[in-house]
Amino acid sequence: MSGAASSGIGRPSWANLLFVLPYMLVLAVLLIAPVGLGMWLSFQDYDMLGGWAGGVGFENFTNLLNDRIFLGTVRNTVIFVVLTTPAFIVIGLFLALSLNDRTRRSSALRSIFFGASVLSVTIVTLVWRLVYLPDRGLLADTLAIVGLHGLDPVVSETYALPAIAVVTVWWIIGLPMTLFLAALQQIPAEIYEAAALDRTSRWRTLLFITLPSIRRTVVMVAVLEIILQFQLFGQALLITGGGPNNRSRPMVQFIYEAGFRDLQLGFAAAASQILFALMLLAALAQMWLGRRQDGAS
Amino acid sequence: MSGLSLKNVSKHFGMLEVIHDLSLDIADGEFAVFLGPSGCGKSTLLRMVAGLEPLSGGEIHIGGKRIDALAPGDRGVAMVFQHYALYPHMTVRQNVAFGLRNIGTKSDEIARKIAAAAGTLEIAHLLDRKPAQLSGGQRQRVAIARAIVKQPDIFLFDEPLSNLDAALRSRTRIELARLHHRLRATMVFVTHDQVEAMTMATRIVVMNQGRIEQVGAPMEIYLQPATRFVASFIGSPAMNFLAATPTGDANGRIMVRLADGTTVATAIPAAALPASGPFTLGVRAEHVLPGAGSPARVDVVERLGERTLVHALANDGSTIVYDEPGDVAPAIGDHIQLTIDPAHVHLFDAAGRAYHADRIA
Repeated sequence: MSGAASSGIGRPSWANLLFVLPYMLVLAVLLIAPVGLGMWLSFQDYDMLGGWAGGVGFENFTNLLNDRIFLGTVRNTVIFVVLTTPAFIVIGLFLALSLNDRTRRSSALRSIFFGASVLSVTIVTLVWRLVYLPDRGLLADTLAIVGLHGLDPVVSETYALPAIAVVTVWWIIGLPMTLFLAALQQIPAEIYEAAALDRTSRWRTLLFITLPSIRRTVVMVAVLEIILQFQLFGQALLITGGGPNNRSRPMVQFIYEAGFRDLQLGFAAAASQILFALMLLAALAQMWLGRRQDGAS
Repeated sequence: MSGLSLKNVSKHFGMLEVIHDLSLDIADGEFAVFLGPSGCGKSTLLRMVAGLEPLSGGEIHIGGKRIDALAPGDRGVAMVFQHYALYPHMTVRQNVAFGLRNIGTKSDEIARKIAAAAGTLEIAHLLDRKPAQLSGGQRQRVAIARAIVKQPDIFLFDEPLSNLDAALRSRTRIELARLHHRLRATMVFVTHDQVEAMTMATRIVVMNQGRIEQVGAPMEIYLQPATRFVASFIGSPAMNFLAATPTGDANGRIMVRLADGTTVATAIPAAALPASGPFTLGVRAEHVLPGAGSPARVDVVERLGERTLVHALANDGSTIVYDEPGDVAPAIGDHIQLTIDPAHVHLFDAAGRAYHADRIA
């Protein structure tokens, strides 16, 4: 039976490499090389005007850790992720559960909720600027009806970041909703019928049937949103500009300003590495939690 | 007592009527099988009993109590689904316990019930596994265990054997029959497989296009099918059907002539038959006897081991199937002669209604 043994199935063949080569080339040029370059830059004194002034070891990092504005942006970004990620999961799941049927009403609402996601950040922030406009905005007018005056989130140190979080959730709630809807539709109807025959209350059905069935999607949405929301930039820049008093300035805005306004590339690259490390840690922690529950249940 | 009673039950999906004004009584302790081809409404009917499908009309009573407005969990029924419907993220033990926990059963009683059911179904060693780690047959047992612990008034089975392989299917059939005997519970079983119906049922309900064709004990349905549909659906191979023209009667028994010119003196009382109209003669393979009689030519030979089915072409081109014991069959192309046992023929009128000889003891 030499024919079967020499058929080549399961043996590596260099010809196969040709198929992945185009992708690998693009990946190498556009991702791996820039990441490597960024890491190298973070250990250099590199000024766009002054040029390269040699390696500085960890100086960029120690400078960053002593920079109160940078530490403030780390705090802001982490708070923003903590505010938005659970909201994406809870509201996204709630919408998916409410709209998981074949009625025309649900289908229209699904389109509407997803619709906002296709808008660009400039349009979204423009719309919300009108809502948040001090004294004359929709929010101010509405609050005035119940007698609340002077609560202008975009100029408030306390409410600026939550206000941006609200805009972000409103803007892209469509994606988690759609992912949850897809997961819910994978659950066989027979399981719900068995649960109905088992006299399962609606609450216990959600807790013991639905949620365990879509646990992987919940973890995926969490990881996805952590990675996305750590990169907060456009909304903050356009709504508050990072203010007031840096209280809504996110890390990406700091990196942008250090690199492209102040032209300190090495310093900006070091800040990018810290952002990258934070995102990686948060995503790994989330995945580890998800896997631990997988094993436990 | 926990008999099941359906009164003028109907069901339509939009304009499409799938159950037509159906009434049926199933006594306490019966093993009733709803049998029929795909789309005949048998599963819909079962789901209506379970509460998974609302009624369009009529009433359902269990143990004398009307239940068609109650939620599925309040009807006193337990169901075994075609695809088992086990909760995939729960262990076998949790699957079986879930329904009991929902109604606040105490932990020690749950443990006792699970132990008893696990013993009955021989799944004690599987209790800590998840459904994905079980074979099809094991999942089936877990699904049955989940039904048993609830001690329902009625067990409902929705084609539960159709996903098992042939050997396991016949073994599970025997086990279900044994389980029914032991629990003496009312069971309603849906299938399109006449062998399952014949082997397990105390009573078979043959359904076709949303209507009941016949209700009766397995042998009663086999020997005296009420309609041509029942006659063709029950029995393997299917009954032979031949066009027949009445030619008169002898001693009050109708005589018919077949298309090939053969005359059959049946045992069917002539008085029972309508005056005219086309008739079809039905005869099962075991009642077609080779030897002397009308000429025919062997067309196909099917060897099943313990018997052999011979498909023969009569002079007029119609096919007649008969069986031979063992492997003593003629070869394809052989010319043979066949006789129809007149005591065991049935006649069907144009509407499909059946006429039989008086029951032979």
